[in-house]
Amino acid sequence: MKNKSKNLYLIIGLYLLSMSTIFLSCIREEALNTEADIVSIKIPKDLLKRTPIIEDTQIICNMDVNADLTSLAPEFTITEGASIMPKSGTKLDFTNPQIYTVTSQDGKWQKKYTIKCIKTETANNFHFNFFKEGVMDENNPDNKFHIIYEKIDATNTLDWSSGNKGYSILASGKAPEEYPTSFSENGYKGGCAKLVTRSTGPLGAMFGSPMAAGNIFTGKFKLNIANALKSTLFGIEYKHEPLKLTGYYKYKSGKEYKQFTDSDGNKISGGKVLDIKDECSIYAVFFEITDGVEHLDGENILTHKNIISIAKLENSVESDDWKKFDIDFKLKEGKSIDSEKLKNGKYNIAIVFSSSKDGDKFNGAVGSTLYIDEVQLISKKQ
Amino acid sequence: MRKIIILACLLGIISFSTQAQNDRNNTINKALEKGWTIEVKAGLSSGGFSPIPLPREIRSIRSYSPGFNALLECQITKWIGSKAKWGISSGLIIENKGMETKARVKSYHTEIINGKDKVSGFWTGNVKTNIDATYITIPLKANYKLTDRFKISFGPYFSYLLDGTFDGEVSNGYLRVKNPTGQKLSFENGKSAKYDFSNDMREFMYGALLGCSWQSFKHLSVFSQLSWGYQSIFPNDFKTISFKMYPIYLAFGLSYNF
Repeated sequence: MKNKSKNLYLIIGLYLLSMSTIFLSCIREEALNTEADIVSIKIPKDLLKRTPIIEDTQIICNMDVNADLTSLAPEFTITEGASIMPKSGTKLDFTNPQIYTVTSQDGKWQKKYTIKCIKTETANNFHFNFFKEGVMDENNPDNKFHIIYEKIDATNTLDWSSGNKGYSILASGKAPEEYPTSFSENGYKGGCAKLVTRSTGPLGAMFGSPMAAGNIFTGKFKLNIANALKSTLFGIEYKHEPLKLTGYYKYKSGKEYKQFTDSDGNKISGGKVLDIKDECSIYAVFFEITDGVEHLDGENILTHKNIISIAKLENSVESDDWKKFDIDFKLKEGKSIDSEKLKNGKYNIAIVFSSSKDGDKFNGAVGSTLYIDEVQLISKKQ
Repeated sequence: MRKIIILACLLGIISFSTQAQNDRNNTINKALEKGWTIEVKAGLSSGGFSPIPLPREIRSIRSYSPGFNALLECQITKWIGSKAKWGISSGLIIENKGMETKARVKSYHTEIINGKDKVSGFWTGNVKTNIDATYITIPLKANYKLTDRFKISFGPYFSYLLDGTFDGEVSNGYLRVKNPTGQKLSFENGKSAKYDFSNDMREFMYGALLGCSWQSFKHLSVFSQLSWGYQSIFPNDFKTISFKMYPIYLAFGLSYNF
């Protein structure tokens, strides 16, 4: 009798042993890395005007006006074990953008980065025409959206940034025209920018971004889903004292205004329908760059202490025809412009257009549409 | 809820069997004389749905909880020959198979789903998986009596999924959209995203059972049974999770022998 119960304990013991072996013992050797990212880029500091931001598949380096672009040897750090071609430290001519290919440690994945070295110094009056560069990366179905750019001079161009890259995650298979920001042929003169507030569907809601306002701005975009407001990095170097922002716009509010964030900043799940019209936003912010503040973002673009002056359209109107706007920069109280800093490129300009004024808080009407064209930034003659 | 139902059934059967002990009827007696035995078993099982071996994507298992998995079995055995050493049995099992695991993974293929929308990609970070499945199972077992009181049994089983949940969330890491070089979506500071593959679970499954029981009293035995699934929890055409997960559960319980 005793023996038999011993047998039973033995069998139970063996079972338990085998179970624990299966579940606990077999953490296997780590697989080789599959990622292929550029983690950092190094270019001599005296050639750079701003710290380069590594976006998803591009790096834009704002170069000093005197920098020689024909022979630059940027150095990179990349994902552990990955390789890069051309090699880090290779001298290349950056008069035109260069493409680098990073191959993952396991050799199975490749990522292409476009590296642009640009000089954005403009004349004191700058005219924005909104040209279409084409569709970004036509081979990649995730990136089928328009890039809109400006010609600074014969060789330098400036891309407008938008939140399209973030929208692309939720917009698999959508045509460029279905993105929040796109190019339209029907401008005031030639082509223009077309900004539409789009729904991001239930998945977007889950990511905390129930809608995406069309936006276009000077600066960079680096997706941050933890805080969508921090994805927009506003501002590019500007060496003039801005006086006016003028241009033409055409705006229609979407049908149903929904509020997803209340006045206290709390999220409203599913949104609350309000009986109001949506409004667009058109503004430019001139701000000083200081240590660690080379850009403003969606959280502080109108409130940051570095802001020197703001030009903001206060009462936008709905219309089927183009309307002119002509807004003055208003100096913030106690602020002035230091001519030495201005000469040294210590100020940025952020020009921002959005199809929903409170789109950054996910309040607005899906369908709100803003057309923007022939924008001029008028500055003081030196 | 399912667990509560099973528990209620279980209690019902225990009280029924206690009742039955008092007034065993002639039919059972007759069946016994012809080499048939009937058992009602109730037990608890623990185990998990595990890939074998663990895929390289799994870097560490941070926690594992088998949960409370009830098992209820009605078994009829026909003993063969005059010695009745060998017998063949079948019946019906209603069982839960569940677990909750927290693991740290690297480049694990998954899909974040909400309604019709989904984002697929490769996740590096924490994954919490919750599985709770209820099966109705038909076993087919060969039984062998090692002694009068101790018997072992083995054979295949066929299961049908009555109700199943396979969901969880990812946190503290990042998703590379579509492929390992896609956009990087970071989920930091407690931000998480949910996934739910409940509707993709395999309905029919088979596997093997290996069990033993020891008759402690005239009508009462203790038993143990290992149930090893030969098929993954997901059908073969389900590619979202790149590895197979096999149910492996070990039950302990009491059996009432009529």
